[in-house]
Amino acid sequence: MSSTKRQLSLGLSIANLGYHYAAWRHPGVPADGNMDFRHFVHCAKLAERGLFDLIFLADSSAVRDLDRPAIARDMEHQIVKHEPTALLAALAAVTRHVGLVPTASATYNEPYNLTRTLCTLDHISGGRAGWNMVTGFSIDEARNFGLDKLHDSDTRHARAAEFAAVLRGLEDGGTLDHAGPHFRLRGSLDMAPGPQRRIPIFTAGTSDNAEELAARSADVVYGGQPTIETARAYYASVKGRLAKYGRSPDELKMMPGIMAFIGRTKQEAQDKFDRMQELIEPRLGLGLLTVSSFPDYTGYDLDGPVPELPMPGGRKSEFIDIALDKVRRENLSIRQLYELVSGGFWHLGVVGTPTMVADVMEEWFTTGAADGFNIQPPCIPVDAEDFVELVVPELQRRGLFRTRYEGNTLSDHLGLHQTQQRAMPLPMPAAGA
Amino acid sequence: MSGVTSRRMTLGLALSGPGGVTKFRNMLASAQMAEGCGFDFLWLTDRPGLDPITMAAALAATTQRIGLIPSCAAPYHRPYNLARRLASIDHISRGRMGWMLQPVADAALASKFGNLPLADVATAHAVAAEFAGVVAALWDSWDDDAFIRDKASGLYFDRAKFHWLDHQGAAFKVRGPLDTARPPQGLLPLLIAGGSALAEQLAAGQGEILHGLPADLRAAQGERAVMSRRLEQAGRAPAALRMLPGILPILGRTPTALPSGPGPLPVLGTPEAIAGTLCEWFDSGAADGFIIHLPDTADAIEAFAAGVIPVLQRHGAWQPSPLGATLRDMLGLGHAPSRYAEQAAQAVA
Ligand SMILES: Cc1cc2nc3c(=O)[nH]c(=O)nc-3n(C[C@H](O)[C@H](O)[C@H](O)COP(=O)(O)O)c2cc1C
Repeated sequence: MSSTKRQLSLGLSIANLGYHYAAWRHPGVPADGNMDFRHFVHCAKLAERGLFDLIFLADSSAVRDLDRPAIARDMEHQIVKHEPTALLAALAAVTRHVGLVPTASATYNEPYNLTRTLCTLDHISGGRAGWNMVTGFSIDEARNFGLDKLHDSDTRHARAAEFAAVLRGLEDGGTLDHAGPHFRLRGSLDMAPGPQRRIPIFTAGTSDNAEELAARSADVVYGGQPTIETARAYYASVKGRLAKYGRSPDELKMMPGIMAFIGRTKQEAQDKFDRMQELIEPRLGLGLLTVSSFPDYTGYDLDGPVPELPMPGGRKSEFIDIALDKVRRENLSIRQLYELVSGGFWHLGVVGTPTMVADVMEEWFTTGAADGFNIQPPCIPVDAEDFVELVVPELQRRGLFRTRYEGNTLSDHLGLHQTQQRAMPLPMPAAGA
Repeated sequence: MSGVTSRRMTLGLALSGPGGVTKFRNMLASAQMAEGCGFDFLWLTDRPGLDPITMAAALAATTQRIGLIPSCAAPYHRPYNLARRLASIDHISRGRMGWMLQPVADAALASKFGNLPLADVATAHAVAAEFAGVVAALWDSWDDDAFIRDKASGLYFDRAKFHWLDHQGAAFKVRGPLDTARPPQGLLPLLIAGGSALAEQLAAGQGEILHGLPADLRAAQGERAVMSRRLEQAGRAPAALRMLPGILPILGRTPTALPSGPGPLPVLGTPEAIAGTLCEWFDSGAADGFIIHLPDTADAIEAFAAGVIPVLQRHGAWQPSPLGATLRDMLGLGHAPSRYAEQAAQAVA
């Protein structure tokens, strides 16, 4: 097998105990694992055994929606967690190959500090650091940093673009003299460049601003796309913006999330899925609907029809329309609605055999919907183990995934090293270099 | 109770240049050597190069018993971010983290944060005090027993056991709660570098380790007396703050050119003589232990430790801390109950 053949990139998104709302209740999930370092060591080693490109830690610097007790939270087991750069620096010391991608906000960090942190992570890990650059979407986060409301999308994305440019100016060991609308700084990191010299930047988001930021600044885009049609459109839209920045389509990888319930037979997978759905506490199910911007159905019969209630704040959303349409056509109950929403509403969800999961991934990969995937196990570590043991060999058999690590750095794994030597254009005139 | 034999000397280590910290491998070798030699903690001072907090996280996973205290320059951090990073590493290290808060920014660093104006020294100390208070309060966001995690009933946490902070001060506005469980130590020991009245005031309010720079035993005793008064004024017990003067040991018989000016106190002589000085200070009550300043090489650490530490141990002043000891344990500070638990206990009483 030639190493030049296009292959999948795979990330393991370790969202603590899993992406399913009842993950922590699964007998194979350590309910206190979110603060237990050993849980993450186990997951990181598992990702490495599966030859994953990277482990990924989503994040927001807040406990979200805690002030809505009537509603209950959507994911109680994610309330407390580790800070991603700290956790990944610790995991760097106990792994050898796998890339390490922390989420950190460009809105609530300063570029000098964060660049220093990321370059330190790159040094500690021998070139395995990445950065998932987010701009923040949560009012709860804003309130932890002195703000009463979220900055608007334009402001957050302009700051992020400038932040990325500053990181690019500092990370290679050079001296930067930068004066922009959001940051003024002069100096160098006082550090040799990290082994990668250039830290892969990840972004996510579907707004026009988010896509533009991805095209300008990102090496990898983490997408939340529920269907192959939307995923192809998103793929084409983001890649279509690259030329404007003098970049070619293969300089940016699209890695949507995938949540797979895997069984050796289809029935086994379906049983797994059904068992998890039954574990969703009704309180949480209703909370999930409310934080997903559905009306609050508290007080109505869970097994009765979904009542016609006004949308909160008169909001409209394509996703909610699709879901409510399905409710009407199929006569679904409130319970069935929250089960629907919990089972891969945002992301690609698959319930099936390893062959079926690999089929879906292959189709997305070969028809312009994905360059790789961020694996979002419903329950961690159990479903990550299943993915590594059952799906990875199937992908390898098809020649879609590596059979050993060929490079040493995250950029190597992602295949970014040949194409990304050029410096990224700064979003605004900046003196010096 | 005889104060001399029941106390345990705490030994910290601070490493310094020649250059900056460019290779993590070297820092790891130094940390592991320091741990093997019995040092209670390593103070990761903010030298040019790799970030001390990120290094502390990696060291937490590669060491077993040594305490880790990274320097944090207050002007360049936000309390919420720093609180969760440090809490996270306290969980990873099973309670071996501390933190050093540097109120005033290094001028060289300041230009790198060009959009942050440099505050005057008094204001910087006031901001640092507010900063330290917010961080400590955020650590108390969740009670130690807030998480029930009952798989059968589906109850994950007890809604009565978290606390909004709703802090609104001169420098910071932070709502909370922290998104990290209460760190194993509850409160991470805060190290303050002394040397000025403002720093001493900060240490008396919230510090648990004072790195003093007395020029001799008399000065150290004087500093202890001053700090006891300041602690009393702040409503804290004298033992709430551990006094660990900075010592620059110079092993050898022949006097060399001693460094002059402010800085750790040079102590010259054979290992026995240096150990004798440390014991004298410790026995007199002027110091609870020391922060030993050494060049950043495994050889220098080993040379000091092999000569001096066995003498301290024979004297009964120092003994190795047991595996599993937290940094608070090593400092003799004990577990820190949550402020809310204390308030509740007071309300009952
Ligand atoms: C798949 C996916 C994952 C995301 N993960 C995070 C995350 O971990 N943390 C975060 O703060 N934002 C996350 N976001 C939010 C985006 O970074 C961005 O802020 C959001 O899409 C809002 O963009 P807008 O303000 O332009 O609408 C994610 C978005 C998507 C689509």
